[in-house]
Amino acid sequence: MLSETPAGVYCSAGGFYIDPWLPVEHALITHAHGDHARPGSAAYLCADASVALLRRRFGADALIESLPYGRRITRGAITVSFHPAGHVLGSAQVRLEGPDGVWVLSGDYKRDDDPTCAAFEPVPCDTFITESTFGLPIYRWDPSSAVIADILQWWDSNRDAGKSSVLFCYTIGKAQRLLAELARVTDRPAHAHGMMLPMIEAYREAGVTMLPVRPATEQPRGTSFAGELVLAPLSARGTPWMRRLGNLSDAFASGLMRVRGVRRQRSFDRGFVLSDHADWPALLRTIEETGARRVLATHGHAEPLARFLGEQGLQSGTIRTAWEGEPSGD
Amino acid sequence: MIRFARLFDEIDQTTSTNAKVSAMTRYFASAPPADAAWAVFFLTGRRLKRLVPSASIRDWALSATGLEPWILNECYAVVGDGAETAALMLDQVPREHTEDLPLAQWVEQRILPLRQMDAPAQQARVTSWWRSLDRLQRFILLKLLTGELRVGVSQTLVSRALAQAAGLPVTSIAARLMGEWTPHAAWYASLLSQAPTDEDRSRPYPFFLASPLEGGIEALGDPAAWVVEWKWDGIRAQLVRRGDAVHLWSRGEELITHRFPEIAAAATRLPDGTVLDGEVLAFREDRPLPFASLQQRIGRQKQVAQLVRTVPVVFMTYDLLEDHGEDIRAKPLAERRALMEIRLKPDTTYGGSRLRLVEVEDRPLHNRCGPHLRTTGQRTAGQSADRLHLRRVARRGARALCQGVFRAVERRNRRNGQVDPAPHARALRSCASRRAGTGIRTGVRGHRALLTTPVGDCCPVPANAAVAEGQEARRGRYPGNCPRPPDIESAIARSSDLAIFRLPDPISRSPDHPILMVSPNPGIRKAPSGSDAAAQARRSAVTGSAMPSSVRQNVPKCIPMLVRAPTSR
Repeated sequence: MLSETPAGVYCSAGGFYIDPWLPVEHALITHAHGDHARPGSAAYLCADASVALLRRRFGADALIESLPYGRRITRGAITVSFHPAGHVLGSAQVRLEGPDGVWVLSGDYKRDDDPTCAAFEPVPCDTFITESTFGLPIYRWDPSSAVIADILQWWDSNRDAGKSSVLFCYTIGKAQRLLAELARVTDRPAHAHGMMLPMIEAYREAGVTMLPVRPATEQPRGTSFAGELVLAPLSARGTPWMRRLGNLSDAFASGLMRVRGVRRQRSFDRGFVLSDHADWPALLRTIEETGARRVLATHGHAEPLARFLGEQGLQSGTIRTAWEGEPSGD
Repeated sequence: MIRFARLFDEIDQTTSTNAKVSAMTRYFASAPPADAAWAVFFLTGRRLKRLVPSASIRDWALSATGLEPWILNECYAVVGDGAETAALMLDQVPREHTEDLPLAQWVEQRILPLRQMDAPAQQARVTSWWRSLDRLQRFILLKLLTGELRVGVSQTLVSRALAQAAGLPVTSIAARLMGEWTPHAAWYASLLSQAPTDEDRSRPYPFFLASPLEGGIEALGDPAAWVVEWKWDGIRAQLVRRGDAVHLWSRGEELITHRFPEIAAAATRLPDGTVLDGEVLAFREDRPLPFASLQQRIGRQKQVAQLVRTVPVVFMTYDLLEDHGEDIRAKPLAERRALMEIRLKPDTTYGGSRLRLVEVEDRPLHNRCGPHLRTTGQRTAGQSADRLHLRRVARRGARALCQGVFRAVERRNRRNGQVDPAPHARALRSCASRRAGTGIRTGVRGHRALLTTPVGDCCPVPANAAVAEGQEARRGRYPGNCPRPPDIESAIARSSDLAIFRLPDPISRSPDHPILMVSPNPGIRKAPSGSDAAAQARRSAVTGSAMPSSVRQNVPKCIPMLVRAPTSR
């Protein structure tokens, strides 16, 4: 059904690539993160909700077609459909049905509640290709409501201390999820680095309710950020832009923050364990729910996960992709 | 335990020294004394001797989670810490009930008795305990069990917090924290007691360490108020002889008596109530041995007897702090020096040459330093006395509390006479990065240093060169390959991790012959590591006197000695 090629995962029976990392003729895109959606291909196919984000990435000229979740189309000998993956807005699993049975390629996914995107739906299949960014038993997420409460408390204590709260997070998905989750518990406006604004705007257009956001980049000189929450991409850390934020406490929202040493090594004041990827129990639960007899793991801790599944009696292996999972910003 | 876990979390969640101190102050102000005593024990880096091997923790975690050893190894590779790996994996074992035993009970009634148990009994206890704990408490428990709990604060910060909580001077807390003590409620009460406690007669006085001179040379006042002493390159130590006992303390407030039995033996012949400040040196036949030799004595715990023969040591006395039980730190140096000369007469009364008295350069500071520096060439034949130690002589009417002590360290590439700051910068950087974050004293010497131009080797001048030889003459004596001071300065300035303090030469007082005081950039200590920290350090690298006050505050201060209205020398 699928083969690993220099350009990415290729389906020869359907004549398309899935999340290719080189320009190709036909590309199926699971979601809009940079390690999955790369520019230059002749034609893209994605889930409906992903189009707005891909447009902002690829520009107005790119040929982007889309499907609603669940609608089946035929490409060559293959029936293709997208199903919600719960990762970010428009993220999709790709279901492929053909002579080799039903294959599902998960893309990135999570099982936790997320107000910014459709929830993951398990899709029965014979072969399941799962991401394994956090495929180790040390990765286990607390409920996001608890993490959000921590973030709000951190913001509050920084307000009391007259500091700004700089929360680093990924520009697509995490920032909007934070803003949407925070909107459930507060109505204070937040600030965001200029790089984040277009994607926040795209989410708003898609109907996601989020905190009001002010640009943190175009404020007049001398604007005080004391007491404010500022979302910023990791790439802004240590840049001169940070200087205007004054006395600050910084934090990183990522599943990577689960490990104390990672946070300390990067010397963040706080690390909030909030991930858009499945944790270990969610990976195992999902694999079970698909009913797949064969599971291929990709990215992150693919080998331990595959070995673990093998020990559980599943047919398992790994497949190579260029996915990066949670960007560490290095 | 919950309160201590919260404290650990607060300290762990900030890189700000002030925030750490205020978290500890809040804890000390509210915790029961018995708990606070143990908290002080752990915060100051003391450890329970390993009670449970890491391998046991690992096995218990595996049997509690039903996972295979290989997957634990994979996890360990990511986490890099055994206790944390186990605590993270144990997250799948639900917390069954909540229980908040005080820290002291945890340690005294639960953890310490494990020592007497066999492995199955230990496992039964520990696995039942962690069912009542949350993730952070489990992590702390496992760290305590393996004796690896490290909290990112130094003893100095703990002293500061205790002092704030008790309303006492930091120095008295620091003195009370020195040496050996057992953490319990009564001890904690005496630690914070307003009344002077003198139960432990082994205690040294606070160590008086070098600190960068802030401001100009004028701050030193009259040059005649200074004497020049040799600062030897060894282990700074205090020799305390009180009652029947002798205690030798390193400047890291560590007892090193047992490592240097010959010094202890020699000190037993000092009068009761004597405290000497000085330097432990590897020394043979009137020559200092390289510092590396001394390191053998520091490093090895066993076979001390053999090392006593192969690497003999002496105690080079700089100062007399207590004489016949009387604290004489307030007396003028001249008086203390006179007493020292009596107490340490170089005869066999006090162990012969084991206890020596540091030499004082008889030319006072204002006689210019050319001749002094030139003698450095001779002294460094022994490789160790390449530091100058200038010490203030108490001066009438002076606010002598802030004494200046200098160490002059020459780092030179002897092949071409070029000063090469790179190795020095590297050493300082590694020292700084080791100190950063952990708050653990590394004992690395050369933390602060003066770089001077290598006058001695490059410009042979008759030893009796007249003081009156003016600057013109001296300037003319820099041969071509001898680097001029500005070169050193610019070379160091390129090294972004160092803060540089520029001083006029305190000896020649010549602006043409500056001395650079180099210290690990304080910015590094605030931002422990990573590329961001390096960038921040670069940004905050400061040269010259235009240091912002935020940086200046982080420059380590000397602990002032008590000097009361001194008499003229």
